[in-house]
Amino acid sequence: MSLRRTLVLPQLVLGGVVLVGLAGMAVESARQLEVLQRRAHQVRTSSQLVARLQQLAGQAERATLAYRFDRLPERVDVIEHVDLEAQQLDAAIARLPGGGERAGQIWSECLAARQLQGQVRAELLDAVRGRNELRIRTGFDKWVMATDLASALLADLAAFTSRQLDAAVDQIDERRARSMWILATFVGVSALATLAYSLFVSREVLRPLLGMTATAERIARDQVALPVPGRGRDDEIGVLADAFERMTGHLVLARARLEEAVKARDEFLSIASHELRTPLTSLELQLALLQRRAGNGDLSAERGRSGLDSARRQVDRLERLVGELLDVSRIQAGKLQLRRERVDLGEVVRAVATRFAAELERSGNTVALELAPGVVGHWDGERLDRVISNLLANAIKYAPGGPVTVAVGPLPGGGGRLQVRDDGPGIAPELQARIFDRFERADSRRGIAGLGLGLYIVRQIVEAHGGTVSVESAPGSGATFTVDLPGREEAATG
Amino acid sequence: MGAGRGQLGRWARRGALLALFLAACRPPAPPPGKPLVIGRPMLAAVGLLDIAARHGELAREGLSVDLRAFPSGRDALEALMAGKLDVAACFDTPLVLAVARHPGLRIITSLHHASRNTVLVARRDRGIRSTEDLRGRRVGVPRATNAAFFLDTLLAFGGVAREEVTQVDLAPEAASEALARGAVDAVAIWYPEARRAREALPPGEAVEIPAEVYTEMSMLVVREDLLRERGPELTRLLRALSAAERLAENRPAEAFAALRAAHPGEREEDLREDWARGHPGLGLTNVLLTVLERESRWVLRAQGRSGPGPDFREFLAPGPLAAADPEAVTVHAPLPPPLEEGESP
Repeated sequence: MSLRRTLVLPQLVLGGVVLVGLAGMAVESARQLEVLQRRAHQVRTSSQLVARLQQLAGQAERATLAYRFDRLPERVDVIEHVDLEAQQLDAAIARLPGGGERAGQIWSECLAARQLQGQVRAELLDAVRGRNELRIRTGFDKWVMATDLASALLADLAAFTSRQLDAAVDQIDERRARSMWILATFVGVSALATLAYSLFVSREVLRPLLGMTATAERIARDQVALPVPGRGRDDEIGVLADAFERMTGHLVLARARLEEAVKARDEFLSIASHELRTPLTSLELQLALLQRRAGNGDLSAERGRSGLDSARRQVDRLERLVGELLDVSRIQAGKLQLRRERVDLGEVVRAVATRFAAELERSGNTVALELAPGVVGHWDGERLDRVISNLLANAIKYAPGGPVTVAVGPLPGGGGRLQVRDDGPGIAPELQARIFDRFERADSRRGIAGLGLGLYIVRQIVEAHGGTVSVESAPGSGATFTVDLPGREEAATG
Repeated sequence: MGAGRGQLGRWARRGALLALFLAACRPPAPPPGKPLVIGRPMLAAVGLLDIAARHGELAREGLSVDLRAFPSGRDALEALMAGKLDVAACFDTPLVLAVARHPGLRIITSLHHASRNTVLVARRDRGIRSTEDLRGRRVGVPRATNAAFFLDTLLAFGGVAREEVTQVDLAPEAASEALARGAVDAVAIWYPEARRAREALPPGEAVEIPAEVYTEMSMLVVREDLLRERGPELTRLLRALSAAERLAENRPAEAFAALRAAHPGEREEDLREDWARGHPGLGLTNVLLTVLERESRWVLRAQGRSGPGPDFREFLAPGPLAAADPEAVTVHAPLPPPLEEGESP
């Protein structure tokens, strides 16, 4: 899951739940409050009506009592007026909604009791009008009893209504307390959810980042590649961890290569200084000898020529070393410019062989030239001279005293092939891929002179011509270097 | 994220374990203790007790109840005063008569009220058609019961003086037999004994006279000490009775079936008729107070004494009912002494 979704979605959900919860609570509270307010209004109205009924009942009782002893018609008028208003109140109370079963039960009993009271009162008033003392006495007792019951029921109704008002107020209080409790619970749960979410974020995001920081510090300190926390996750943290791990892998590899290059450079400098110093020392000694002999007057012409030849060889060696260095420098700087011209490869080979004649003689190598005629191409003659020289010098160096064959032949489709074969110790397979690199030598343990640049220069020059160079060798079976040079058209594209 | 889901599962398991632990820690329901011994007359008027027992409301409240039958509420009240019961179901008149001797009695609720449950059953062959015809007759009535108050009320409304009638004390169960053999000319008795008395006479020979303005009430009475000792149990008892009352209102057939099971010896139609005569319901009301005060004055008059009589609000114990069913208490408690300055109510 995307980290954005991991982080944002819970927040949206939490926020949504809180908003919906609060909105729901607000709506529910408003609804409950409205219901309770309506109920309180009903109860208050009912209470007022019952109070008025009680007052009217009192008026009727007083009028009835007075009529027994003083038969004034106004008393009956009062009773009739009270009955009329009481009927209206009864109808109003009956129209009030709600109140519950118990209220309905008390109210119906109250109506029945008042109806009975009215009947008994009518009998009493009739007896009073008829001046029947026995009926007045018994009717009065009955009326008192009925009135007591009706009054008690009215009192119960009033008390019940009042209790309902209390209950409505209690309900409001209870709802408010419950709302507060729910709100507090909601806030508490939200706080817990927020805390849990913070822990989740800490676990999901911060911990891997801290882990990566610690790993980066360890990598910087110990310079090793380490597994990065958070790898394998399918979110942004996982992507970052994978990239971070790849980057550290590359850094460690680059560092190793750099160290290797520095080591190779140091080795090269050591070899180069040694290689340059050797001919210089020889040259210095040769010149000093010639100088001393000339000073002593015993420098014969023979000795002088021999000394100068020797000095000349050292200078050639120096020149070759410096030339190699200059070539490498040019190659590195991208300034290797070919001066193409019509070149006969066989002629170049022959010229090099002639130039190496003295050296070959000294090393005891025999050179066999197998030169097909007319292998001509549009090449840089001087550079090819360098290629052949380096290959021949290599053969002398690694296979002294052995036969060396230099062959030149045409390539099918144009171009030419140059092969230099020796019967030296051969090159191990694992070294064959590296010997064309800078500062690489086939065997550095035997103290063989050289900068390790010859084959590198060969490959750069051949490739600059659009050709290829390869080696075939097996340990103990000598080596064959093959250079394929393209014809005019290929060379032009190369 | 796989690891996250695993973590989530662990948390879910921990939550479930916590819930189980909390459920296990919940206090168990209180074990039933010593049973509450309740005595009541085997009358439909106090049927809420039987419904609560048979329908399981008492058990649901975790109450252990020993329901005992008595010939009348008066007898149950006597047993209560003798310490043989914890709670007695009785009618108004026996209580009014008893409070003078036992000021420690407390009413915790009424059970029903009715106006036509007690009647006068008379022999037609003795020429009795109305209350006035009772002059010079022998009327059987169980002494110190609400039937005695009923008879006096009936006589008063009919303009017949008490002295003009010979009242004969009868056991409730002996009323029908006494009327049938002519030992009395009429009996004042409640249902179902009134039906038995009527049916003991040949068809058409019984005259039934009710009182127009008369209310009887049954109630549950306890001793004051029980209120202190077993108050919570009484609250649970009243809560169970309140549930039985709701059952009777909302599912009358179910309630009647429970009542029927408690009265196997009664004919179903008779029991149904008796049940319909009254209005079952819990309450401590002004009507109850009025009935008790009226009967108290009657008792005083009968004893040749005068005075206002006891304040029956002092005999009401509204605590358990107010806790079980607050709306059922509509009577006002005795007025407290006036508040001194600085005192809070």
